[in-house]
Amino acid sequence: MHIRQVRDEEFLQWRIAVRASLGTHTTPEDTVFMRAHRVEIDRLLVCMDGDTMAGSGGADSFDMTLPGGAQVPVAGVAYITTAATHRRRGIHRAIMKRIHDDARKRGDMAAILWASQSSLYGRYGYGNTMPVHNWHIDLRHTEFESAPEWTGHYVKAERDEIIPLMTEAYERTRPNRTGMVTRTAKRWQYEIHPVHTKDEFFIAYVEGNDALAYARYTIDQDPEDEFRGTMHVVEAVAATDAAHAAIWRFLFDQELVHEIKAHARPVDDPLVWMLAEPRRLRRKLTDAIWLKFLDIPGMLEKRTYPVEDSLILQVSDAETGESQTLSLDVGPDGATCRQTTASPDLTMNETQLAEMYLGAAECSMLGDIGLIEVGSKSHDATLRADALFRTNPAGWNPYHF
Amino acid sequence: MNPHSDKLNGIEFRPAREHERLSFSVSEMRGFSGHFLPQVGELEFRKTEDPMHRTVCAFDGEEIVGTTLWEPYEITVPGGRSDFFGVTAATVAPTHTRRGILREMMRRLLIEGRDAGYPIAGLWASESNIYGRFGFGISGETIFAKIDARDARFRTMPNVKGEIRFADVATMEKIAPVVWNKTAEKTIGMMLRTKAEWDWIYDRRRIPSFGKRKAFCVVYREGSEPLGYAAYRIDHNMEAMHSYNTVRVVELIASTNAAEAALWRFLLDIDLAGEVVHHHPKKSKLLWLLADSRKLSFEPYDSLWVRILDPIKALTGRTYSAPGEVVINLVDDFCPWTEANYELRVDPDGTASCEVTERTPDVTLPIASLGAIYMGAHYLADLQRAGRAYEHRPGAIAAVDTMFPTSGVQSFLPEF
Repeated sequence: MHIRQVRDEEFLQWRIAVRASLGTHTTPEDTVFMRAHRVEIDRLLVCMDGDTMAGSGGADSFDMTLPGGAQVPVAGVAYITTAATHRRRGIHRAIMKRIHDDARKRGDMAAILWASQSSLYGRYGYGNTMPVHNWHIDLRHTEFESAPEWTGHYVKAERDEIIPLMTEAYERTRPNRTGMVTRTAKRWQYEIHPVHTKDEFFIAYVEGNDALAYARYTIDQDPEDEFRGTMHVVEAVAATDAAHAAIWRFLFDQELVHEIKAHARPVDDPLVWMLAEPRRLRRKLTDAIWLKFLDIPGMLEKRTYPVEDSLILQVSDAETGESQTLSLDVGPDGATCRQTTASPDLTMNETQLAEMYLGAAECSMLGDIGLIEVGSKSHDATLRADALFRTNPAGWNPYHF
Repeated sequence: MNPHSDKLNGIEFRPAREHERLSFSVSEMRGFSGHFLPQVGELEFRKTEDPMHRTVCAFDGEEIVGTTLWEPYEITVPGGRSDFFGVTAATVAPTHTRRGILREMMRRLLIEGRDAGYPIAGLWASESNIYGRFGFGISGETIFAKIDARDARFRTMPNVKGEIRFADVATMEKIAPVVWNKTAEKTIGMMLRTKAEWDWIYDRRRIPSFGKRKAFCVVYREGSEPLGYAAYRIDHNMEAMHSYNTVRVVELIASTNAAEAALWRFLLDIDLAGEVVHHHPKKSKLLWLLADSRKLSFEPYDSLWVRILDPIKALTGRTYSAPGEVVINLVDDFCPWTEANYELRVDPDGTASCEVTERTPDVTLPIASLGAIYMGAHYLADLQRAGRAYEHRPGAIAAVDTMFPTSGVQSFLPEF
């Protein structure tokens, strides 16, 4: 078996194989559209067993926002499948390795992905970096007790009119939200594809000439009671607190809907603090974006930190076990991260560094359960790391690529 | 209303008297939609002495139509312990709602708390839309956790040197308070339990109950030293000879990481168990122990609500994560005595001094927002985004957020 790039002429066949492994079908029309608007064919891989496609993988190119506003190139890993006929032969591991090697060559500083199962990617050094909440709220309990005032208006429009407004609001939000990634004009066309979104409604919130928020949602009607619809919020993105309040007020005030389910909300969404009955906003935590460093010193230097401090971190590769020791120095002018031979304050696997990098897990917690080792002269190092890596707003990526 | 009168719209407000205990209990239980059971109700009062002195009740003639009770507690706050004015048993008779009775009882109760010298008051709310208006803020959240016990492997296991054994009531009576106190000392949000409360929990007539139904109790020891315990009940569920039992963990208290991991491993490995449920700390070791985090359904809810009674005492009664200086303009409609500008200075060692100042404020906070960040579990920036905090100097809220939040173990499990 060997792994190689997908060829243009076999893209349809590849796409059928990928979807089949994930339990769904595709159509030629959809695949043509995807080829034109979504994928970068030189980032797609196939594992061939003779003439059979036995596995797949690939990546999309994104820039991701870090705390402080830096944007770094990342590989958005997707399309990962192994044919049921070819399990337990190391295909998954080999494809992941090839994706990471290729991404490093391109200069990507990290790889990110949405996992089909939460137990799959820790072994390759991915950490549960940006968990989210899935929401459920009964619409009888949506009164705001406190909310920023909004002065703008809503624009309801169809696909072609709404895409520019959504794009504008997304782009106003992205630079200020750790974890959000670029979405190109073509990607917008793909995401809001009439086939994918035929049941979707769109709403934008505009102040003056500025589009500041949007939401995409669907409504399922209860066949036995037309007054008891369920709204599914596919995506709601707001650039300002007022726009956030405005867009949620709009969603809450729908007629004939009695509950809302919203997928992948930020764990620190202020809505819970706005509601008169916060407990009615039922939030369930789940993993969302998993992140693996491809350039650890680079990623540590590119983010900003809420306090100044210095730590020596020894970080080992999840697969090879090879480790590097890094001196992270955070001063008033930013962070530097260099190789050092000093003895480490904290010793960890890259997976743990990814878990604590944006504050999802506290270093002290990972230390308590034995996943981070504390140097003999560094008894307070885990608490210092907690303070250093604290991230507000929390990392969040609404884009389920 | 005449401020010197004890009557408001014909309702009289005063403590219940000793001979009114029974009426108090009947009224309280009815307020929570239950019937008073003498054998249980009497026990409630054994938790603390002379409870009637600490009630504020509403009377319509002879009939009690509103109840509140406060209990003297101590709670672990960042850096130490604080006296805690615990508000409980707050009910209004369904025949007397919408007349301002709760508001008046709360007003009087909080004045009592201030006069008794308490820095903070707190409660666990039956609903989340009641206490914000009285200046309480959500200071700590708890997780309703449901763990799929089948194949719930850990990705790491601390070095477990001890053993787990079942314990009878007599053993638990001795061991549990020791483990509890050791754990509470370093766990923000845990309360001290008094001897009377432990007696109440273990009362012979309910034992070994931890509530209403008989529980199993296990202790984790290293050598002879008890370092953790768990109490749990099991709901049996079997269909066509397939068991899917629910293990309901009533309490899991561990003073070391190894004890905690060992007890969770034990609970997850109980035969025939399909799921384990627990009111669980938001800072969850279990979440990061599991090899597959989706085994854990993790749903946060508001649990500990804190109300600042004496801002200077409260702000100097805890330590902080970073040095700094901030002038806080406190707004408090319900207890106007707290309203002022407070200058909080935190030294490099984390201790604070605080005084009323004429200086221009850096931030303006409704009193509930100060309660919300008091235990170190929330960011002021999140409240700001919801319109619950205002910044007058750019960067002031970010500075507060380096000072107030604390890392380390926190637990805000409902306690009374």
